[in-house]
Amino acid sequence: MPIAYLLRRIALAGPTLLGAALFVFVLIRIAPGDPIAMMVTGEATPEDIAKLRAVYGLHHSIPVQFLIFLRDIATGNFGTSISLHQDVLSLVFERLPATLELAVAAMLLSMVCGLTFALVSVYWRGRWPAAVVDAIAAAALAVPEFLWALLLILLFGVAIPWLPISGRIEPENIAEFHTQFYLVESVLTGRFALAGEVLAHLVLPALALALPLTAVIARVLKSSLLQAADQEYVLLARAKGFEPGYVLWHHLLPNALIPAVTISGMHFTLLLGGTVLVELIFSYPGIGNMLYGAAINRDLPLIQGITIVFAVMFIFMNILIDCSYALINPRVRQG
Amino acid sequence: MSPPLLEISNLRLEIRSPARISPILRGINLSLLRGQIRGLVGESGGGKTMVGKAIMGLLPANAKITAGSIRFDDQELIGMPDSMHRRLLGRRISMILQQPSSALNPVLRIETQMVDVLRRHMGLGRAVSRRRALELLDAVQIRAPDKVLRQFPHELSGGMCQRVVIAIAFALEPSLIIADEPTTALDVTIQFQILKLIRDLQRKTGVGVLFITHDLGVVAKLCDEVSVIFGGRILEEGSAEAVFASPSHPYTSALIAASPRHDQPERGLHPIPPELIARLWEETAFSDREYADA
Amino acid sequence: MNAAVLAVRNFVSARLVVGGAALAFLILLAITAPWISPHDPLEQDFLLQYVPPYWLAGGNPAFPLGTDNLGRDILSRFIWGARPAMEVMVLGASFSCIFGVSAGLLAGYLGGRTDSIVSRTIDVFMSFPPILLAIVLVALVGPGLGTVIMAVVLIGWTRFARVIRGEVLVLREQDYVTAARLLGYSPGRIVFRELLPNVLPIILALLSLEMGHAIVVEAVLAFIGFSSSEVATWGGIIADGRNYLNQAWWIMAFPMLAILTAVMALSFVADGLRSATDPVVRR
Repeated sequence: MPIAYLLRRIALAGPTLLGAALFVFVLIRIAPGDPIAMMVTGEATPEDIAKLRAVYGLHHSIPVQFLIFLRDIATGNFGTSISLHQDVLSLVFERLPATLELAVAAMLLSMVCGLTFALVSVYWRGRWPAAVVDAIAAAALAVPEFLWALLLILLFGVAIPWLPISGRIEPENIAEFHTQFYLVESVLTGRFALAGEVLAHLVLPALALALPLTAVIARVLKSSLLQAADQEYVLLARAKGFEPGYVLWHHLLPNALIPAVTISGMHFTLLLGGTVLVELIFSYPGIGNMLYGAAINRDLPLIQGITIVFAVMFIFMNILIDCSYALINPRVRQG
Repeated sequence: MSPPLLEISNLRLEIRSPARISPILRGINLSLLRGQIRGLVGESGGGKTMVGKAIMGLLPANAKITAGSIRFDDQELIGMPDSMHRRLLGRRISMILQQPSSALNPVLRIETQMVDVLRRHMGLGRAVSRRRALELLDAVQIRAPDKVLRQFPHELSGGMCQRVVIAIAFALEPSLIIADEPTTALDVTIQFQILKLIRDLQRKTGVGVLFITHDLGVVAKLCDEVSVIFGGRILEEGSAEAVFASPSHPYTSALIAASPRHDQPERGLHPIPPELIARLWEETAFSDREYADA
Repeated sequence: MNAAVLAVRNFVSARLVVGGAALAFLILLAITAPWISPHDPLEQDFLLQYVPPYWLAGGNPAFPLGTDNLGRDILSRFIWGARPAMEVMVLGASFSCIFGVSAGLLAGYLGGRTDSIVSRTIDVFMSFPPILLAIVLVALVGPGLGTVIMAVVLIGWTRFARVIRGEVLVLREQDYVTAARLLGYSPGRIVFRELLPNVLPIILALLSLEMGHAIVVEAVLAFIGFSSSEVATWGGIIADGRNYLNQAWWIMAFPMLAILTAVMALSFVADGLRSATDPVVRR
């Protein structure tokens, strides 16, 4: 039954994917200025230009161009980057692992911190630990990751230089890796010193990314925990003689997670989008950072490629969230 | 004669909100002997649920006991440290609640919710507790207990849920069970079955039951003794037979008269007279003043 | 203590006052920039580079917040930077609101195909990281105030549309809407006279939050290089300051403080509005 749900969910996402592709297609083509003219140098002859037009299919009608566009995406042909002169897809895949490691680290961090904050807030309700946690969460909620990133740079760049504030790893160590998944690879191969260095570079950007989401999770989970606490099964659980801590963890939390996951899930995708800014500020070499260069240089194929990859990740992420919701809520599994 | 299983003396309780303090219980006196079923009957808002929660020590945060004592098996419950109190709950005192479908945790399987009490208080292993759970489900007349254990609460009917709750209540062979309107949320036909179940189990195990309800018919059928509560005070008490045959307090008579009699359709409906209620509230206020001055 | 005083007290909660005051201050700065700015924000003086704020050693009271790498007065640039920020905040959030609320009202009330189309469109828009869309748009169209405002609207309208649509879906089942329909009122009148007043509190709260987003988008785009003003932008100052972090941290710090203040003030206002108009929370 869960498989059927997953398949159904993927099928539902189809039109959205198509819509996203259409959106990118339209967006790129409304750009003022002739894309071909931007790609060629001064000595190009009219024949060269005509050839380029043919290569890029610009002589077809718009609907046909769209179909060609779809076919290209499906086969992984995203064209060649104008500024970096390499295949767009391979460029993206080279940098994607860095962004994924960052995003996943930030998500885990926010889940753990958010959960802890919410539990502290409920268990010590009315006493000072809860007040402290509530204050931090309230502050974190209003501040966007852009500002957190800058604050962290200011703090760790000037005031307390304990952690590195740029890059992913010291340049001389890049050759040590076979894959682009630096953290995963170094841990799996047992090179913990190296892993430590990657982690040190990862901490600040992940923290900047995670803080707003931590605040959301903490607030939502706390509210759903308090709501669940009014339910009768909690009374019965306490009537069985269990301590408040046990009731909180075994009875309240599983129920409170359900609405919390739905709402937090919506924000996970925002975290993924936040990588664009955080990578820029921390000079972290992921695909978000690459977008900046592409934008400045009006490198349309690259812009297009990065946008589509992000859209696919977003849609995929939404599917994952829906499925995890079905997993934890027994009532949804049947339906 | 052995001391009563449960003895409540002059229990006073109030609810505190930022705006005001509302007295809920104004000196409750109640006792329950071993093996007895006592009904605590009164209309909604009379404070009867609070009595049950006070015994369990599960009062809401804004409720405060201001006077009186609750003695269970000659131990004073008020002021008992939480850890000691928790040892009693589930093991010596247990509870049956009103809404069977919401009394069970929706995300946990039935087996988990039945077995946790057994393992917590008796330290039984998984296999042993599972067998005991099956026995218990059998005792509450659930067919196919094996299947039920694996299910979730929303897959069971209201009646079946209540049977599970009853099974949990009887699981550790307690001395006292507090039943708070256990049949109110069920269909009339199921009500009868559940009541019969409770009575049969009570006869078999000799447990003391405090049966809280607003339904006089239930009290008449099930209880040995009855206490009538109104406005936070006990107005009348005695054996069920005696109280119903010849009630001494006008409120009790009015309550009995107000019950619809399906066997006497020509009788019509007799609501409780408002003058009586008004007089009773006056008396309540008067007794409050006396208490405050004392 | 009559009902009127109580009502005013309820409304004017602490958060609303503090947030509103901070916001008013920033808007005032933006409006009066040409008159209160102590120096010309574009004036460069290479003899006066990296002057620290006046309360630190080496500071100069003529330049209260110090100078940057080109010897420009930070305070003046700071004040002038409030202009594009406030412009984008007000215009961007307003248009976003108008567009998004209209879409939400239409989708929620009319239902059927209109709803499907609008919902699908929202889904598509929300499959992209908002900042990415903003950057791509500005990259394609070119920098400038208009583009930045367009970017804010493009990524903000979905928030309004989704929430308002949800509210309308619930509200249109209410009895007073059915009554209005039975009385023969046109859909337009029902939407504007019956539904809109009921969603107004939510719109106001969302609007304040959206203004916060608008300021951040403006700052981010300016940071990247797509400025919305030739004079000075907070994001631009931060970008400059980042390169001189170790020599002159104050360049970055003050615009950051401004953005932080604005965002928090708006969040306070949103909270205050929500508790002032939501009868349940008020208790």
